[in-house]
Amino acid sequence: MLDIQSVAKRFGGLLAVDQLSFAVRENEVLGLIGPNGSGKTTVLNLISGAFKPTAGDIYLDDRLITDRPARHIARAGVGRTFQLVRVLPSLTVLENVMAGAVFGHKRLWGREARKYAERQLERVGMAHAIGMPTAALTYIDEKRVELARALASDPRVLLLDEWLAGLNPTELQTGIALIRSLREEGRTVVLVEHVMDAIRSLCDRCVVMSGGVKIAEGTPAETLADREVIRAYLGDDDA
Amino acid sequence: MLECRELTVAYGQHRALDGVSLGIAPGEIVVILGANGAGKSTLLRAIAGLVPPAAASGIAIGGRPVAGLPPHEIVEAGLALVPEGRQLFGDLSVEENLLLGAYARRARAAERENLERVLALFPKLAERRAQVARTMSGGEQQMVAIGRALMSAPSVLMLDEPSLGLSPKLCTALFRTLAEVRRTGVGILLVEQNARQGLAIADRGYLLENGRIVGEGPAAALAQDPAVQKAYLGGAAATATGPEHAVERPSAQAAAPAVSAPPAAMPRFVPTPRADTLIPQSIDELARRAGEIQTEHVRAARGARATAAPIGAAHGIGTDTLSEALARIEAAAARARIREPEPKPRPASERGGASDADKGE
Ligand SMILES: Nc1ncnc2c1ncn2[C@@H]1O[C@H](COP(=O)(O)OP(=O)(O)OP(=O)(O)O)[C@@H](O)[C@H]1O
Ligand SMILES: [Mg+2]
Repeated sequence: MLDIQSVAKRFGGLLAVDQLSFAVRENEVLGLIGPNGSGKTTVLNLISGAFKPTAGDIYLDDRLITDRPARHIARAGVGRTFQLVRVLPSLTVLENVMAGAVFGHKRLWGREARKYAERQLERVGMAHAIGMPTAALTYIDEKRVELARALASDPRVLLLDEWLAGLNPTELQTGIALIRSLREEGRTVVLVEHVMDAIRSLCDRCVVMSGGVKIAEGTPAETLADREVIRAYLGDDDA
Repeated sequence: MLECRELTVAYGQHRALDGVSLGIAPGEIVVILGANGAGKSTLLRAIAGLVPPAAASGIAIGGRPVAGLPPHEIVEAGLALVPEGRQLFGDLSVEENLLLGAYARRARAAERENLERVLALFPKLAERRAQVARTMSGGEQQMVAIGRALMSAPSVLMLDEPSLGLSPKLCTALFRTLAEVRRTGVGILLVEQNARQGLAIADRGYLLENGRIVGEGPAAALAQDPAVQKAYLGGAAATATGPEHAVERPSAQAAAPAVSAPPAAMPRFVPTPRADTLIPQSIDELARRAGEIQTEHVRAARGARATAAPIGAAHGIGTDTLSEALARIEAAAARARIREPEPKPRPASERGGASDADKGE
């Protein structure tokens, strides 16, 4: 579904992503994991078109999207949430989510967009907050609104950047069930996450990055037992 | 060291905190467990003076009443907060963010030492001293936020989900660090969704539900409590496996001020007496370095003035201090640019597109 081929991204003197290749299969949950600063968010930014790669190519359904602007990629069905949450503070919760419906893959308008946005808010457990200003939201609720906004565009591929971070174990189970239901309705998910319980229970496969390069790829069980992954990411006494 | 008595915070009719009483001894780690929305962040923010507590609430740091004081005076009394969502000065460099953490009078004298210690703790930050904070990865920003709090030489350190966004390996390192910071006599109040690791290093814990304390006890007892396991540990018993046991469990006496010296390699964060003589030098040095980081950065610092005030307030950096610091950064940066050696005049034939390309770098 997504094909990342020898992609690199340079920021000044720093090569944040280096010759990275991997594929995301249709309807799978792919975990993208690795140490802090290893380039995971940058990869999501490259896929969604927020950054242009310094080298390499990215394909969506065999169509080259490397140089397409971000809004075209969103229209083509790629939705995302941000690690450092970006809700629009001047809009209400509902308006934030409607923005996703209007500008995304779905292209809904007016009443239809509103209804659809309301349904997405219900789905993430935020029905009670529909008319609230986003300034009144807690951090976790902002993240829920962001997911509702991404869902409102009815994405085929969903890029989630640490969406489960900061949830307590009970909330985490709800979050995991929600992501699983997204897959069951046919979506493809790329999951960047440091919460290993979530990686183990959700991912079909994992790609592990370190210092901008891929150091492992395989099932969660394989990759999390890999010696290099333990050394670079999990820590030796986590083995 | 930190004492809260009947702490209440109301947002309109809604009581976000309702008569919370708790205490932290020097060198003690106390963890607050509770669902999202239970009032944990409000508790930390109220102690830090960021939301006003109701009239009858009592908060004392080292015996000094601080309820109702502005945040920067509470910082002077010895409190530091690593807030939820990091709240960095996004347009300033990593190093400037750290140095702004040392703006409390109590921390200025030890600024250099504390900076070295923070950089020893997070070597990544040493590599990236000049990077604009906004462009750091999520976990890197979390390191800056924790480092900045330590720069204020707190006697009480409050952390709102410090492990959020850190890799498993760094999480373990962070919890080890907190265990070491406490050995210097700092009291730590920790809000943590990673309840397992939180309880493993804590001495005691409180359970917060709907703004009220509904339980408290020694951390080891809480970890074994079936109700706590169900609500906060994801049901599974907190059995004795996993990285948390890399961290030494504190003994009962650990709540007393630590007498034992920390291991030699370990950074020590010690509140130091005021030494105003050091201030101009350190600000100038900060400014000089900012100058080295070139024009775009100075423009960012200028822009930061507008956005920085609320963030500064959150860290006890008063508006005056902040403008003074930013003004000095700008002025010294301007001086530094003027002092830059003039580029050698080139023959007219070589000029043209080349000079534009130079500026672009
Ligand atoms: N705009 C930028 N300018 C300079 N450096 C950047 C920029 N964006 C990212 N970087 C650097 O690139 C590296 C990769 O960053 P990225 O955000 O992709 O990491 P990450 O794997 O998502 O980390 P984390 O788990 O901490 O979120 C980091 O070292 C970061 O500081
Ligand atoms: Mg990231």
